[in-house]
Amino acid sequence: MAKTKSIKNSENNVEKKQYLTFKVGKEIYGLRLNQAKEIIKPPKITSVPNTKDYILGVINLRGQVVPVINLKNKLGLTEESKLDIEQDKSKKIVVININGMLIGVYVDGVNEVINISVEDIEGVSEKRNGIREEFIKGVSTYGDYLIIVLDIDNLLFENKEEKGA
Amino acid sequence: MSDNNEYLEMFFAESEEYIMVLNDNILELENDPENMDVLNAMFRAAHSLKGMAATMRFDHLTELTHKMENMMDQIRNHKMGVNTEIIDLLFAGIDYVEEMVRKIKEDGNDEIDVSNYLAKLEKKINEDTKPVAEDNKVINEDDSNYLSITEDDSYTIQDNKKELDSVYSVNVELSSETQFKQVRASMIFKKASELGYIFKSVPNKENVEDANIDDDLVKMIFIANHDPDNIINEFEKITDIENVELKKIELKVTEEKDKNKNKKTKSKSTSSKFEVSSSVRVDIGKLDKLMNMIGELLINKTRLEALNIQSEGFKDVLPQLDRVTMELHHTVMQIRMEPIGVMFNRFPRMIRDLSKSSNKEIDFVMEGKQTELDRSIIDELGDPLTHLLRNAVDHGIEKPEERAKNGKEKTGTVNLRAYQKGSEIIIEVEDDGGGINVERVVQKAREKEVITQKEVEEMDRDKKLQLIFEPGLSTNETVSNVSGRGVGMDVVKKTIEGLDGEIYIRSEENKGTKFVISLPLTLAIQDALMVKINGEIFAIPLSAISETLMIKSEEIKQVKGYDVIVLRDNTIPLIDSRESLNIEIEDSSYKEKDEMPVVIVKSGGKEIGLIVEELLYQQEIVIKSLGDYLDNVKNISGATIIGDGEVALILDVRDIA
Repeated sequence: MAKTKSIKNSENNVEKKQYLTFKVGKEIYGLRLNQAKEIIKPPKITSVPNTKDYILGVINLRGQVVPVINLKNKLGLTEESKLDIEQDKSKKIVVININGMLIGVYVDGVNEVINISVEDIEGVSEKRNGIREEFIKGVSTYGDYLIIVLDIDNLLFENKEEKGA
Repeated sequence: MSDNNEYLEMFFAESEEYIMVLNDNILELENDPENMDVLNAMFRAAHSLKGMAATMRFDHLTELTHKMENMMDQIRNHKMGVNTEIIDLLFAGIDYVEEMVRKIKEDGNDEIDVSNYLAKLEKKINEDTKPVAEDNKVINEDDSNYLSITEDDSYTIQDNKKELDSVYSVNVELSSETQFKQVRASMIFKKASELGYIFKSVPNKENVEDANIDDDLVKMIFIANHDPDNIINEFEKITDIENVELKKIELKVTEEKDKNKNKKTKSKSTSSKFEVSSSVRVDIGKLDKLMNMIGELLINKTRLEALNIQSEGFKDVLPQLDRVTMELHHTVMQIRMEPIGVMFNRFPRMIRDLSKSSNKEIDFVMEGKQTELDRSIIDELGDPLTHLLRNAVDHGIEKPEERAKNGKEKTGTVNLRAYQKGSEIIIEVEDDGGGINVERVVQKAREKEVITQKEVEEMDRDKKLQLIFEPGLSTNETVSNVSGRGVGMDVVKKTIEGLDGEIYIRSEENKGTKFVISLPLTLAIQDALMVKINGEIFAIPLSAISETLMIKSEEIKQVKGYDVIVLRDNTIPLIDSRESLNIEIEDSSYKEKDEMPVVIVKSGGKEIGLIVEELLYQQEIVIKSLGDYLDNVKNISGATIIGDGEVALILDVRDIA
């Protein structure tokens, strides 16, 4: 579970925003904390036929049917079979709320919540690790890590027609 | 404008109702201009609208409805006759009312300039208003001192009086010195009621208490089985009566007119009465929430059942819980149901206008207005049905001359019918027009590259017809050269499928076209058969299943390279469910098994045999959407949550073939 880093420099808080960081493959990614609704242990995922390959399937989140996407597939990183996914205990589903729509994002592990100020996010102008640049808001260093800040809206809705179906 | 939303909501709901009453009745009035019941219903609706608009301070709407009400009042009081011009004026007025209500909904104000219309209305009222005597032949023209009856009145009296009754016009004069005029007047009425009954009177019997009695005179039209002297005698017995005058009235009711009247009464619609029922208005959102909660309850009940606890108490309570949940579900479903007529009622007006503007003669017949359907489905159906009916009038029904040439009756018929069939509601839109030229549909589909030539060759006529629902094949271009609206049939199909329904078309050239829409009774909860496909559990709605059976591999036959089975002389195509779900088939083929379960499903008006891995059990499922992110997944219509809390997908068999 995510450890919330104590906010010491609260006077600078205005410029800083909270990001949830998580691991996918070897890299650390971040997304705005206010977009994340909750982090859950992956339940049984029902795969949905006739959908794009990055759609892992759907889960039952307290009575609501929520689609889950495999971030690794979506970002174009190495594929992983569904079986591996269900066995690894550290893996999590980050449920994000985007325009009132709940979507689960399957990640390899959740790290922590950090504060990044907007100026510290450097834009990227080209593909990074094979990830299309429109999926990325920028990169930021935090301690020893390099955090890739994702543009979730673009990632999930590349264009209007781009839906999982 | 009010800042109170709740009142606004109520205002919208009620004004919609009143507009409906107006629209309904004006059509009736057009057919039967002398039906005063219809006019009265309209008057009341306009009056109520005015009252509401005034309370909410919608001044434009208040003025408009006030003027319309005025006109209807003049007609009601026989000061104006009904003619096409007036009907058209009223039609236009209703349109403005609708427009204003829409504007209030969208912009919060009713500022639509209707001054031109109001001026026209005013002018018409002034032009047409005549004194009673001119417009309605008054029967006792000679003596104006007596109360008179109009021709219409005499029919009413004729219909209601007993054979031996006579009709009198009576004037009872009170002594000018009397102190208690009101008391005396009520005594006169009391006496009259003993002798016979009062048809009408001045002052009015009901408000005699606070009426001013002019000239100390009570006038009435009085019906009784007594001779005139007797009546005069009886009235003179009342204290303070100065004088009693009486005149017998002969009713001039001609035979011919009588017949007319009878005919009219027969064609009179019973629906024109504005009924008041004891009901509560509930926001549909609250019902949705209630339905969702019952869904949750059902899921939890199913999970509870799956626990399979071995205890007497548990076994006792479970059927109880089952019964309560079922009843609760049923009740909420009932609450959400509404007769489809509430939506159908907008169509006669539309067809009338359309046929007028396109110079076609059309008989529009609606059947099954009482058929009940989930409110949310009804709301969604308006647009597609409007589209289908428009098409039927614009492109289906031919011009009278053309019909005559083809040996058809000049007047075309458009049917709109709704009925329940099992757990489905069927809605049909049928016309007896020119039908659809299949080859032109195909040609268009080829042009738009919706299908390949090879596909065309494999299609039968019926399948070709269904191409009309493909995007880009707008019917108006395909079927006739009349330029029309841009919305295509694909949108209609999409809407219907969004409601978990199905639509298909039947058409024969020169005979007509019929669209058949089938819809589930309710969206939220359905009975389903659970099956296993490739190790996963899927639900198939029972409403889509005609039967299940086990077949042996030797029963499978080949027709044109496809697998089929023959079932009671019907050849039914077989499909591997895994194929339609794009699941890789590892164990080569189902044909290697000796025996396999097949679910016969209804798909596009046809039957298809779906081979599954295993038939499991039947269960009531709560239908959940896959969400906006996964809408329109091929062959999957939604999901449900099964006993162990897992998600099972619902197979959409409509397009599985």
